Amino acid sequence: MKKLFLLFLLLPLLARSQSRGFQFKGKPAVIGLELAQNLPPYIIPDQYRVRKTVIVEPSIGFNTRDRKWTMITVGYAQGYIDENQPKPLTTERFEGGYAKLSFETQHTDARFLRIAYGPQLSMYSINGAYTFEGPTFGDYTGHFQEFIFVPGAHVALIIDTAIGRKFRIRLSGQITTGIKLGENVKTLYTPGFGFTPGYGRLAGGINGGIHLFYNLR
Amino acid sequence: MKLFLLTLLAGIIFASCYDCGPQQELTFDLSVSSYPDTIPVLKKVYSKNGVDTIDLSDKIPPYYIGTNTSLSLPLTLHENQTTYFFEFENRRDSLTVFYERKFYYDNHCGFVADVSTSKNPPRATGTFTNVRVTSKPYVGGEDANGILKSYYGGISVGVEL
Repeated sequence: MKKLFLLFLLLPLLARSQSRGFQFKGKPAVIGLELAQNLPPYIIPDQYRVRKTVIVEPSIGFNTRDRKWTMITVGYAQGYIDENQPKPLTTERFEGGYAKLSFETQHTDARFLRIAYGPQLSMYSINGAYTFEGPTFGDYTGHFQEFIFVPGAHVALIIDTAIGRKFRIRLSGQITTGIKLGENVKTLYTPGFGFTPGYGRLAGGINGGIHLFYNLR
Repeated sequence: MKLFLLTLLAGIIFASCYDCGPQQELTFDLSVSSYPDTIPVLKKVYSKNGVDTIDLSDKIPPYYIGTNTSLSLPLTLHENQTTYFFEFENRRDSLTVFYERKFYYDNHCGFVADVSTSKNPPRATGTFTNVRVTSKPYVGGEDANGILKSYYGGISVGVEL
């Protein structure tokens, strides 16, 4: 029921983009790959709580109108979280995929600046364990498995820098938000949405990205 | 905006009222009474973990002379019962506490360790004259009316020599 409700919420967004001329004019304009998401576990291992990540996030972009683009992004993410604050020690091994649809608009005066927004979806599974300390009688470890579905949306600020005629480097900062529709466990990291502290149903936060794009035409 | 801030504030206040329990080995309170006589000196408290003896004599409070004393003792998370042996200067007693373990995910706390009180209420048996048990959940939430179900919950056992 909740899923239906959210889909209902996202529909107007899609419909609006359709009416504005959401059509792919011939060949795609750019293809890209995300470069930064795998780095934090190695650069700031003490501050970043997600470990051993393998995140692949290719995207394809279409120039729909003058100074407007539609970007389709899919992602695969796997990784590992160790969480012992607060108790108990919980480990989560996540694996899953996500998809994003992003409508970009180039700023009229500052052409390097773009604003993007759109819906996104994440589906992933969790294999985890929790350990309750038993100082007297020994620790107790339990295991859990979850499949989590997260519909949501994002808003991003994008700065593009051209490198030669064919390549483009993109720095982006985005705010994501979504709702975790799992059975029981609300995990700390949501592929495509990022790290969310806390145990509630909300997913998302503020995160950055670096993309390399190749101009196809 | 005001409404939003109020909701946020209410959320913070209610979240702080929530008791997540120990989130580790649970303990129960044991109250020993011996009215009208004074309690004999308790020399040793121990339990068994398989064949190993676990000495818990350090849980004996330093001052307990009189007719009433209380101890806080751990419960094993591996079984639904824990047995204790007590060596007083003039008698030996045993006490077994029964409970039903529950490990689950709570939206306020993450994973919690609790005992079930609905299906199989915790009880205890032993060689003491009289054994009484009261039990509340260790993890405190709100009931349907928004009233806190328990705060500072847990199993309490009262025994008489």
